Amino acid sequence: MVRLFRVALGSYPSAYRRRFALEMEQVFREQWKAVQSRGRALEILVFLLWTAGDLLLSSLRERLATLSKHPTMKIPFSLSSPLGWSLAGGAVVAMAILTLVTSVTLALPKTYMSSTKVTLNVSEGAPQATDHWAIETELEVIQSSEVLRQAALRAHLAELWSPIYLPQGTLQPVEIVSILRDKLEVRQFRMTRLAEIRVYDRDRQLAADVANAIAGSYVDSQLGNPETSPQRAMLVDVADPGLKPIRPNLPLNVFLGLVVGGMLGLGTAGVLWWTLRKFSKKGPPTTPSAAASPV
Amino acid sequence: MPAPTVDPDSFLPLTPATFHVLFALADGELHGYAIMQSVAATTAGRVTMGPGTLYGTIKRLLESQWIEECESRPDPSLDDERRRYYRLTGLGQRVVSAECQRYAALVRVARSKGLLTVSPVIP
Repeated sequence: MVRLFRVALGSYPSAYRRRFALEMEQVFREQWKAVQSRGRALEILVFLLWTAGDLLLSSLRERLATLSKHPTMKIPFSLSSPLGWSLAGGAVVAMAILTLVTSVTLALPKTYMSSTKVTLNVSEGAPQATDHWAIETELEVIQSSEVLRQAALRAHLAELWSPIYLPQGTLQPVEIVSILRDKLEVRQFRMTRLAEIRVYDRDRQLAADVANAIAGSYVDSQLGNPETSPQRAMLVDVADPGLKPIRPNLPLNVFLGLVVGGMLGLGTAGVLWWTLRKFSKKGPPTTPSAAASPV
Repeated sequence: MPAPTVDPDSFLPLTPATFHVLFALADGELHGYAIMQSVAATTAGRVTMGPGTLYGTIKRLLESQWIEECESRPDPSLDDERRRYYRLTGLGQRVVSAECQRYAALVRVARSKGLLTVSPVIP
């Protein structure tokens, strides 16, 4: 951890590092020893986060102070002025939010979607109103426990999902159907007798297999239906494994992170600017003052 | 011709970090970690400084000649690794005294308003 601290000191200007790095390292080493000796995990975590924040802000301040003294830097405002601090603070907040959003998005597990299409077992000659109700009924049939139970058997979901969802034992059919319903979406293609069955899963092949299994179970369930003559429920489109994950949506999340981070950064800059202007106190002057005679 | 005397009141009020470092050094020469410990002890842990804040403040105090560096000496707690010690200059002494006077005046006013019924206890 002390080595990590030493690396973090690289964020300070070189002149500052030459003068104070050794002392800062000594101080951190002693603080770290004291915190470790107490052995409380939460205290250690809070100490590390607090130290990281302290280093970040103070190194930023020192860098800005160095920049503002640079003879060739032409900037419209002093970076060590309240405005400079406010903009720097806003930029830090915006970057922090963007980094957080991107990190979380990248860390989230990927979800794939596969879809299959079936024609619904609905009479073509029925009046419009009945047809609508008939279609809704068929959509519910696709999502019924019986069809999903058969689909689970076809796709061997008990063997595949039990190790994932249970520490030991086998998932019961009612549990598998419940899990399946959470991963399933069924919708009608407007003005058609076609239904799309979508399945979402982290395993792209499994998503395709389950979608096909549900479609096959629905079609089979209509076989022998006395009202189905000739059979109208048919598999139209076989599901293929998705090539790209549909969740998380990295470009969208990054864009939202930029927007939200930008807004919060501007807000932070505004609050900081107002606060610094209102409560700015005179600290020691940054240029050497005339030496006073000793009291 | 005597050098013009700097009015310490012109630097008031001080930032909390500046005040606490000067206040700690009023006890005598201290190194960085000792300053940090003194600040924590004086404020009962309510004010804590990280190394970044501490040394940023020390740097500015050195530049303003409110504190000065003493010669470094070995410290047994660090296996005799050398430490830098700091002390107040005359100006620094007057500035921190002026700030304490300002706080004392505030406490008197607070008492007269009944905001301070008992003296604050700091262990």
